[in-house]
Amino acid sequence: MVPVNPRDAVTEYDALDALVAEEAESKVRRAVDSLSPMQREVFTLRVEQGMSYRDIAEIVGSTEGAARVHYHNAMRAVKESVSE
Amino acid sequence: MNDCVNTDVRDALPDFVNNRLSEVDAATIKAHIESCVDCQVEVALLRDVRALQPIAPVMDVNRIAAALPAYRSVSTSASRNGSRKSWALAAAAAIVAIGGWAITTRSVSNESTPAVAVVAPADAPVTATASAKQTPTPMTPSKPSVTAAVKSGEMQVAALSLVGTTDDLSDADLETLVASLDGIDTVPSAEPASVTTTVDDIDGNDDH
Repeated sequence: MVPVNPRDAVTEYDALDALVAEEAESKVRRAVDSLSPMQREVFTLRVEQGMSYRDIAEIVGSTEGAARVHYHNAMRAVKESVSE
Repeated sequence: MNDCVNTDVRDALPDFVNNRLSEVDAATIKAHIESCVDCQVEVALLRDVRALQPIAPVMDVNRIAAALPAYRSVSTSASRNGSRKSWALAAAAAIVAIGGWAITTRSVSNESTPAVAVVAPADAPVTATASAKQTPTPMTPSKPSVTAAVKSGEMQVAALSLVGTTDDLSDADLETLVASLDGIDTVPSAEPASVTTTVDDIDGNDDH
């Protein structure tokens, strides 16, 4: 008899988790892709790189307030797209 | 999904996810998140976005095209100048080629001109010589000379020319020249021998 490590066993729960995670990732990716170019650029710089609104405004050629508005609009659109 | 009413906290959530807040600010935000369901959902979404594989940037073609400088055709003046230069070079090459060909042809014709000549010194008797071979002979331009080219075998005068002038010839030379010209027989003087045969000479009439 060979002892079986429970961590090596593939269960239905693990497979389902992988499918759910893959579906969730796909949803998020589609949500980001559906943003306008300006929203996507601001959102990416803010979330993935953690840049400040001031730096983002310099990069995209806009103002700090406008960059903040673009970010919040993008976040709202992503939330709605993921919750659908 | 609802948005948290605390906009300052919502603005700080990306910094919280990226660990860019000070310890004090991070603790404050963390305390808020534990009591706010909307912020918990948003933080989870932000972490999902950060966990995505790097996405190939989508190029905004219109923006790139708008940033490019206006197109300016440079083919109007540059290409015309280039074509003019090429035509001028071709014309110069053609002129040089034609000139070289003409010079070469002229020199070759001068070298190949048959000079069947006998250079007669001014004080020497002038003679006309019929030469079978057309061998080039050095000419002395300052001395008058008589050239006669005659085909060999038939002894016919093909050409008789007087190169130079006879002004430098003395009377004796002129007489000798005229005598030599008169001596050239252009028409065969000897008549062909007539052939006469009789009927009796024909074979088969030996009986007579």
